[in-house]
Amino acid sequence: MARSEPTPERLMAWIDGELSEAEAAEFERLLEDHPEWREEAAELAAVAKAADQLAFKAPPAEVWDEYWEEIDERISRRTGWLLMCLGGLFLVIFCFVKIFLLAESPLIRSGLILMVAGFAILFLGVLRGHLLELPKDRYRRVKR
Amino acid sequence: MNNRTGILSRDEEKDCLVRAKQGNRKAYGQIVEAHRERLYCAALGIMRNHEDARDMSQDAFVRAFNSLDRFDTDRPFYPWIYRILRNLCMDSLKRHGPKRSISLDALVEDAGDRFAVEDSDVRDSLQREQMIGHLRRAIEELKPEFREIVLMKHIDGMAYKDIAEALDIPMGTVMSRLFHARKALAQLMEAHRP
Repeated sequence: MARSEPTPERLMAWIDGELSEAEAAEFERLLEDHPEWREEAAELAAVAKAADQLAFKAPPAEVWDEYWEEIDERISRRTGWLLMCLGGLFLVIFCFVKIFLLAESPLIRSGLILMVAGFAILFLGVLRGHLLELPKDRYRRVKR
Repeated sequence: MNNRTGILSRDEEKDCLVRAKQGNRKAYGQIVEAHRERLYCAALGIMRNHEDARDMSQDAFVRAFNSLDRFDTDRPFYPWIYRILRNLCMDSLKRHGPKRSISLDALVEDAGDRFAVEDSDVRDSLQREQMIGHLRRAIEELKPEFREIVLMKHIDGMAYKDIAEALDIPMGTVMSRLFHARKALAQLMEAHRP
């Protein structure tokens, strides 16, 4: 049976020990038949081995001063903001409905309708922008 | 890969997450304690300054707590919070651009040094130092998405499936991106060699 070609993906999995024993043995046999891949494997394995020697330096101890306390406070604050915004939103909607129902002048009613329409267009525009951005590369607009 | 995350085992982590989901802040505090250093370093790798790294990692923990009801506690926590952190960092970099930047040299150390203190061959040690220097410079010069995957794999020590989950890409993409990143690294290191 003819053996398949090595692939970059399998080469990486082999270097990083992500293949099973049987898969690794099969891949090593493949490498024997492909000297150009053998060279590449040796070069990339050396790079991986060197990079494995690197580690992040431990952050300075003062980073952890009040670290959890601030998170805890932010969680509480966020709940506060959320409740306040919800309350504000209900009040704004209530005011709009009240003014709309009480206003006799068609000018005021038209003004309110235009305001709500404008807000809806802006909201949908922002939402659309976010949704279109989602599948794209997040690094795209990040300056190096 | 071992079965422990920071100072918690997988089972302990799951137990804390289940309690945190029910609103138990103390349990969530244990999760923060277990992952804070790793997440802070990951944030530092992206933001490159200590203030932002602290702020972003704390913000990621807050967002994660507020979204815990959508999190499946059978899955590991770190790739999920890494994804939250990454999105926060990318948004911040897009809005404000990079601030005061720390070089990779200042963030990353040669962990092998800790275990090679008795190495008596000075020439070997010098060569190794030079090679690590070339490597750090080469990582710095990589395209951002290549640098990111190299930091995740080699410096953060994440497994393929965790990287795939954190970046929301298929495992095959992780492997091929890593292949191209390592090839680019090899070329850059070669270029730096005198």
